Amino acid sequence: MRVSVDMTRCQGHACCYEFAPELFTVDDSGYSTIGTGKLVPPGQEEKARFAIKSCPERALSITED
Amino acid sequence: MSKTEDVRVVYDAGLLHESGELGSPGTFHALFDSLRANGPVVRSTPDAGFWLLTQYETIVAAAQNPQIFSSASVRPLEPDPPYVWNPLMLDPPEHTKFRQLLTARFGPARVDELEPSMRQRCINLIEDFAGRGECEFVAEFALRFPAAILLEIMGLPDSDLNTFVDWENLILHGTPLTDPDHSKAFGAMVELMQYFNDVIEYRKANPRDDLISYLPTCTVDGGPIQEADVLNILFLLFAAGLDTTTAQLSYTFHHFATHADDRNRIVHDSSLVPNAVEECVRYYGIVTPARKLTQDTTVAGCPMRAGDMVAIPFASANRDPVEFPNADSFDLGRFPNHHLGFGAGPHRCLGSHLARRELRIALEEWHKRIPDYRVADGAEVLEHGGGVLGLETLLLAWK
Repeated sequence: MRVSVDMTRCQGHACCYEFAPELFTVDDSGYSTIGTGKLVPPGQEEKARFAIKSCPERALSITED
Repeated sequence: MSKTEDVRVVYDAGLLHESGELGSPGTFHALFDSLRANGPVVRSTPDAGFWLLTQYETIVAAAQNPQIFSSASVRPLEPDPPYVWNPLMLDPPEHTKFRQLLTARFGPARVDELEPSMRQRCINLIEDFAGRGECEFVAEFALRFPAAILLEIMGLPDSDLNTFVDWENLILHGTPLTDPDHSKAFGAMVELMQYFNDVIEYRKANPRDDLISYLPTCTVDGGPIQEADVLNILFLLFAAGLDTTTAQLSYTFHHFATHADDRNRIVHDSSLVPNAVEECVRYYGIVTPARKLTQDTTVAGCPMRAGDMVAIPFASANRDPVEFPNADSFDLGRFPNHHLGFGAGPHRCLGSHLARRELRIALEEWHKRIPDYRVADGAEVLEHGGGVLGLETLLLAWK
């Protein structure tokens, strides 16, 4: 599983970081720094899905390998 | 029936906007529920009139689309305001120039740095009244805790807290009874701006690592920031950052004072607190901004015209059953929780990281010291409407 952020939508809420900081890194302003196609370590898929659903901007997405 | 006729004209703006009417807690959330049940768009007809969106989907889309939904006015009955709050009432790209000066100053890393000091301030406030067995929560805690932290961020001395809170009450909480001609609010605003001005001048000569030292050194459009913009930004942080956190704290503690099961769960398991904060911000949404249309558009099949005002109550979005299962239930275990309590789009609450941490610290430290409390016998709790919902007073008692 890989996760990506659409930086045209990210507004720095950092909800993803709040719930899964080891997966969803942010900069000092709260904007996502995961870029495109960041690999989710095995076993963290459920956490990644929940963090993505907590984004009010719908800026995050998942692609399955 | 055409789509236009689907729009129900049921809504009296006086219930929501600065009428000074008070209700029991929950009055205004129930109003949003009834409006949402009428359809995706309602029209308020008194005075100039405005549209009000009721559903999550359309509210988030409006907040994310400043090209059509402009922030040139953010109050539904004031389409042409004679003032511009910076950056709240600017649209991108102008908005971005100022907003980006502030984001890191209120970002997650900065909040981590501030946490020990925030926690100590919170503990001091609670311990001041914990032994007394009661407090008026709004005045003694909910107003003072966020104000003390904003003073620290701005770089203002703790000794000015009482003056700061007095200005806040005069500027933001006057009513037709207490300040009929707004002269008290205006006088306080003049004093506040003079105070900011004096501190700005002092910090130019004696800079420190605080917001008031930092802002005048910023660059906008390749040149130094205008002094008027610095003052405008400081005033907005004061006006938008204090009242909202006070209201959110008040609703949150009213909830736990009146719901013993939820209270016992967070008392016995503080790991539930971060989730509790999100659910409080969802369930007790407080802010209803508006947007002004830059062009004709259609929302949920309803045609609207350029220049129309559109209210986007985040409180209504947050209880939309299409987005949230059991939306009208407060659920401590709700996760994920993609609420719009802090808005969405480019004007997403700048202080959201700070507010989340303040709410979390308040719930943690309060319940370590005062685990069992209630609304004092015979105390009436009243809610006010307007652009920011809130509780007037909240008398809490404990053994």
